[in-house]
Amino acid sequence: MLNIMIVDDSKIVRKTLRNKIEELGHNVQYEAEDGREAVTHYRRNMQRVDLITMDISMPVLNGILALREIMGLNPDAKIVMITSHGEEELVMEAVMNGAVGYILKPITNEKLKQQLDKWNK
Amino acid sequence: MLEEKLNNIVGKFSVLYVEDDVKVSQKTKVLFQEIFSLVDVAYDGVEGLEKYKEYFAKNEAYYDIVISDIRMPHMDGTQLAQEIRKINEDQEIIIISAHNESDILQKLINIGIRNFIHKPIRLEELLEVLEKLNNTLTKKIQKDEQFNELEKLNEEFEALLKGYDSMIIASRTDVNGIITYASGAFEKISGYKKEELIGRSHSVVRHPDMPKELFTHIWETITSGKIWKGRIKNLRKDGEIYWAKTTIGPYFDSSGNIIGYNSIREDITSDMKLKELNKTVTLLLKNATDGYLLFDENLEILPGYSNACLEIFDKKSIDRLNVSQLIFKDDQTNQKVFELGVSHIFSINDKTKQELLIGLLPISTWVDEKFINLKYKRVNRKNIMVMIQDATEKIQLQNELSLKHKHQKMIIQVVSNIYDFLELKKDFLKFINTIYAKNSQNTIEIQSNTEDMLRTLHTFKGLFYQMQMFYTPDAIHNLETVIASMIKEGQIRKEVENEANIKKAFSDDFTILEDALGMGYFNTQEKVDQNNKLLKKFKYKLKSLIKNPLNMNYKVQSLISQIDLLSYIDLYDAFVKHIDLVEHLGQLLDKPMYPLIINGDKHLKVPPHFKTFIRNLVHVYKNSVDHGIEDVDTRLMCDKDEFGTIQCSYQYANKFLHIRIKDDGRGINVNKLLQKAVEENIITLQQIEQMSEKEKLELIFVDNLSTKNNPNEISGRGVGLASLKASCEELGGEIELVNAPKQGLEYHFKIPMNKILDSYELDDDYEEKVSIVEAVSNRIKTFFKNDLSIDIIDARFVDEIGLSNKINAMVDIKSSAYVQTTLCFSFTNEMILRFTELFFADLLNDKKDYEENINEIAKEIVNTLVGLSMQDFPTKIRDGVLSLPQTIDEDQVELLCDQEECKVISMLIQTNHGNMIFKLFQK
Repeated sequence: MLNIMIVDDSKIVRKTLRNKIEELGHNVQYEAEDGREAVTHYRRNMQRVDLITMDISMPVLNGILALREIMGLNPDAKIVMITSHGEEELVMEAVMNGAVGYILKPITNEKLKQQLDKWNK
Repeated sequence: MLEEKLNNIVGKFSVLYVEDDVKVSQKTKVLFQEIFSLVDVAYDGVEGLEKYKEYFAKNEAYYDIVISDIRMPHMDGTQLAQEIRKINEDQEIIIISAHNESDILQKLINIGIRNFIHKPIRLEELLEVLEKLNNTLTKKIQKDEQFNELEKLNEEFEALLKGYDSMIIASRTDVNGIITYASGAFEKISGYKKEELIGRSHSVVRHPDMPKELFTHIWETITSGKIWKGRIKNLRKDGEIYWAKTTIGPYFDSSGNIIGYNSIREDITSDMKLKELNKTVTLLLKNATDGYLLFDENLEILPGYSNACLEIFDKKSIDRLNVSQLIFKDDQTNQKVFELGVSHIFSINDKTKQELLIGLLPISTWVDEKFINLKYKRVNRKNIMVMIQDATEKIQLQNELSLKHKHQKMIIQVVSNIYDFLELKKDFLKFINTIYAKNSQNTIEIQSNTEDMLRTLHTFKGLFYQMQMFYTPDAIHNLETVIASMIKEGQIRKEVENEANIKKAFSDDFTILEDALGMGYFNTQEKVDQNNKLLKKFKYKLKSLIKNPLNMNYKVQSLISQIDLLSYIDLYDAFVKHIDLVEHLGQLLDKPMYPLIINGDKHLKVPPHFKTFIRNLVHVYKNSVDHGIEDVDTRLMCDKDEFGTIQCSYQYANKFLHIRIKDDGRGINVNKLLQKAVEENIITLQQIEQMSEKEKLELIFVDNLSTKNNPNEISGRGVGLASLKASCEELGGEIELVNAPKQGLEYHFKIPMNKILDSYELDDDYEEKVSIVEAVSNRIKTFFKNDLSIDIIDARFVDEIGLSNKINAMVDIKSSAYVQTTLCFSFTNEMILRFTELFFADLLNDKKDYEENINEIAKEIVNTLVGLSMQDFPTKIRDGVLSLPQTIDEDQVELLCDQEECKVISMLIQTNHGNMIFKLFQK
């Protein structure tokens, strides 16, 4: 079981992700509404978060910047980007900066499972 | 010198020293011990021989040197030497002799003794002899070592040979080709047991594919005593094949006769398979319909791509070309993504990350007119493979449509402004002759009035542009440039390039027009009828295009709608013609009439199939003037205006077109009508009693019933009104008669019409707005992975939108203080359901959850759709600020539509997963 932090500014996406994640037998450790909140939370709860799902475009602190800060806190952090077609360049940047995967919207159970299974040891 | 010689020899040799004189022996032994590694001493021949044998028994080697005196008791030196030579014929022996023993020396020489030293022993002489011995002895030792090595080698070789039985495919046949020996390896590769092979002809493993001539040739070669070498395909017992590199040669008996043939084969099946595979790969690359190519980190394409690449990129070779510039030359956005992605991929070694990045490379693009799908694979550290699939055929029709669309635009413009066009054409053709030099179609001549000429050209350019002509405006533009430069450079004559040849450009355009409209079109006088026919034909053609499975039909559809509009009937215009009619009728029937009064929306149009009905309206006027309006005398008696009045009013309301035609005549005398009907056997008296007033009145529409006794040329026979009624009913309409006896009759036509069609001029930014819709719909397609057929239809042209239980969600894009674009989406439940399946599938498991969140979902859909499509919007909108999405109810949508100074476009997006309406407001 993975403890997962969801970072997404859309309430409905968070809800969806939470449902799917829990359905797959994992635990949602925290939901952050923007990158800043995510970084703040991660700083204090690093040990309790196994995996982070990160939206790319968010207010306050976008996904890329948040990813960089989190990778700075913990180079082994596992971050999966949640993204859409048209954001390829940003996703590439995220991958180069340490993202371990991405899920192109629409988010399906299959895609999510694939990503989570990879890190569920 | 001496010392040097001594150093070469000291400690090297073992020695048996035989000497019977003890004194001499002891003295000499001291010296010998200085020189030799071992010195054994014997005092006569017998003892010497014993010691010699002893030494060998102990060391399995002989003394290197035996040094012996000649004269000794029991066995002298000569005998000893002979005995020793019997044991070891290579033994080096040195004889110590006195000067007077020459006869014995001769004997010793005869038995092979070559080395002598004289008594008394001098060191120089001894060393000289020893040096000689040293050379031979060293050589001998080396030889022994070599021999030992060779022996070892032989043993290994033997072992190998034993192993080779299982490794070397060897066989031997007799002179007739009957197998006499087969190695284990041969057994293994052929699939036959040795017992099965021996005694059979070698042709048992022959493969039928190999030509007979080959075996004849082999046979000829080997029977002539030569060796044959080559590759042969053989057949295994189980029917599989194996390839063998084969050497066959004869072997002979001692007198040189061939007694059989040996063959050694090397299994090269895997080599040959590889070769065949290579052939196959080459063949595949040559014939594959898909493009395959490899490129390296410098984006250079490697040799060895599939031929399909050449076709796709229309090149003779793509060796070493830049892959990015080749594939994405027309697609800068994707080129950027591609190059960034590839540079990332080559910059890292982490395979997982590379895979992640590969997943982000563009999966399709346009090359020239081709639409290609792309797949990537990292084949090794240095190369990435691209698989290119030409999906053009799927999209080709789309291209054709686009070109036709451009043509059609011109055609429609020309057709709908035919008179303007013909005039323009006449003027233009006259004008262009003045700018060309006499006797030359390609030479421009500057004249005194060049300035005027340029102005005129410019005007023509504008006019042709307005006509949406295809080639002419550009050609005029080029010509303008040429002339301007001629003036600047003071040239008078200049031959113009093809691009600036406006005559040709115009005739090209005209050819397109004539092709589409028919050769005679521009000569005929009856433009209107022709128009309609052509438009119909045209529309039919367009519609047949729409039936293809592609989704980019909305432009064509709007085109059809435009064509429809051309053929639509302007009600006011149609009714205005009735003014003349009424006046004309009044004159004919000697009934002075006021001009017909027409009230109604001047922009209201009705579809062309209303035409029959509208034509039939003349019967109303005929009847009104003929039957309704009394003659002047009667009217005066009735206290009526001596001039008769007919009013026509029309309006569109509640999906009905209402036309009211009212006269101030005498109305219908129902009793007289009934009487007539009975007389004509149309109804019976009994029936009359059961008829309502309405039904009775409607008897006027019955065929062949007229209240007028003598039908005249104007009205009568009732046929007219009957056909009017029929044509009205054909439109699904009905006629209500409002009869006010002595005061007049009103015909009230109520015809259902779903759409009010007015002010169809497309607004200036129509294309721009459509491009927004296009961007959004493309995004939708992406979401559905193209598993979606989308039709976009300008909602103004759709009779029945058919969306119920809509959910409306909207966002604003504020581009500047003045321009705000509102995008409002109305989703059917079905559409929301589909999006939800895609985005939040699990919400569907919990129906309550889904319903509670449906507004949230709609917002998120809109947010995602617009957010992601924005990059494809027109520049000024793209850079705007996106508001938060909100859901609104139907009334609020109406309010949006009614905003002042707000342009609305409304598109129905029909998909196989349900429909949605997309409204765009801009103010």
